[in-house]
Amino acid sequence: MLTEVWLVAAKDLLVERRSRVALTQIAPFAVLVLVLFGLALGSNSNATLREISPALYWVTVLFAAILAIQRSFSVDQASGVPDALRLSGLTPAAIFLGKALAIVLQLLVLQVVLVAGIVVLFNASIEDVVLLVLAALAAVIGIAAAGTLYGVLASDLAVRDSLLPLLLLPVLAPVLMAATRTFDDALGLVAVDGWAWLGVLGLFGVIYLVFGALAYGVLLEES
Amino acid sequence: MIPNSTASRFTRLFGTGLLVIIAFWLLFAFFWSDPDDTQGEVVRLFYVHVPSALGTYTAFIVCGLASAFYLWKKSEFADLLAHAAAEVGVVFCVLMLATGSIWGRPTWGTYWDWGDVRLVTSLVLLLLFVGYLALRAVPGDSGQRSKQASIVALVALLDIPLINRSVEWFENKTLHQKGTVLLGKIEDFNLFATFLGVVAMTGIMVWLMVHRFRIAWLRRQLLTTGLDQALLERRAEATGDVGGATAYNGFAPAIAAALAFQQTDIPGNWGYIFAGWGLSLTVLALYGLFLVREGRRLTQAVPPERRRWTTTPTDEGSR
Repeated sequence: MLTEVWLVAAKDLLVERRSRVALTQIAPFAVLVLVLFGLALGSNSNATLREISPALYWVTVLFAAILAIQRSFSVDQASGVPDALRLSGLTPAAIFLGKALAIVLQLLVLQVVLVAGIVVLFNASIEDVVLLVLAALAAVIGIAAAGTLYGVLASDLAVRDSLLPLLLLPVLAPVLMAATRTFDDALGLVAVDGWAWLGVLGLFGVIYLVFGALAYGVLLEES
Repeated sequence: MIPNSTASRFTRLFGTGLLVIIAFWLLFAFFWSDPDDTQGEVVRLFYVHVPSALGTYTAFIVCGLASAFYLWKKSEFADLLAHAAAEVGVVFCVLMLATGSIWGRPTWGTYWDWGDVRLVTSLVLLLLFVGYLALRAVPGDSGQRSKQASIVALVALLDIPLINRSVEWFENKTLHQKGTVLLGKIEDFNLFATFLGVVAMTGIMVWLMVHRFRIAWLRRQLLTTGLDQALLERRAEATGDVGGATAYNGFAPAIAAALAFQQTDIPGNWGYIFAGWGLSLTVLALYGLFLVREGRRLTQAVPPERRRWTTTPTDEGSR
């Protein structure tokens, strides 16, 4: 099972290593969104930006994640990978976890860029590094799990690019809320119990992972 | 008897009975019940808001159960029921949010509050099911689409408790009264008006769902008989999208009227009350009319031998 998961993840990561789309397009896009927030709020907004940096950060992550998920599935679709995976005899749960793992690793790299982004651009200060790192990890697992489930669901549709965000973003609403609260604490902005929210984030991740692994088989099988 | 519309003897009788109940509901809501001690006249919005909220949750739960049943047994009936329930649920959800906001303005002093658990949960619920309908609207292999839609519906229902808990922890406050009815705060006739509202709105929901189900069934028949494309082209040439356009044009004046009412400061907040009720009744009536018209159009397009939505042991579309 673990070998199978790694096989699928390695394939997606190899595609990324050769194409570098996440690195040269998605990461710059995410930074661009941060810059846009700064520009939109104007020159007198330094204090506001710092205060709401967790919210802006996670909205940015969600937008970038949509791109990463779309990329992951459009590459597959273009080269007939879904059929190959079906024929490969890998268990659907392993395919699901493998694709989710590849997205998790890519999004984690993105988090490093974005944390640097809010520290430099929004003047955020990191008060609790451990909490910050764990929150990023837990949130990314939830996003990748839900994203992989919805990515394959929309992957064969001509309208994939417009439908995926509409379907996925409301589902990720609880992750957005919990991750923002955790960051509020980790960045020392609001006195909330970040560790409790981290638990909530972890719970979302587990629920989406389990549901996705169970439902993936249904979506992969030929009708 | 071969049906010529999505109406049947059952829906006609049921609909007539429903009109009587609606009449009594209106009488109780506006004439035979007294204003509330604390809320005043605005409590009359309660009689349409609470029933639409109950209707929303019932419809979405029906959708979720039908989706789960579809994944289990691949029953076409369950698949079409899930689709019908989701669409009716979205209409009710819009009404719940609209009447709630209109009610909130005079009672709480605001249309919206991001800290209120039920408001935010309901809004995300609406968006989740708008996505569901968008997915359903994408043409393609119906068996595959039904499976995808079922998963989306289940995830949506799974998400509801999560969002609900999150917002509650997030803010830990609600503008909603808790268990008003149980606390016995509401007096006899007010309680009865709410009860009638629940009966009437549940009836309306069932009536709409039956018609919507039959339309879904007829649409699938059209797809399988391959007539759909030809029909759509011919209709587009002749009149354009009649049903949809009329329905949506119809909503515009209702919304405008509702907004206009809110501007005027009628004593006793009657503006809000009429806006909420007017919007609800207009939307439901227009949606019902739209379903009936669409049903007529579709029944005429489907060959007589395939018109019976009551006999659906076909495995087409659910392979």
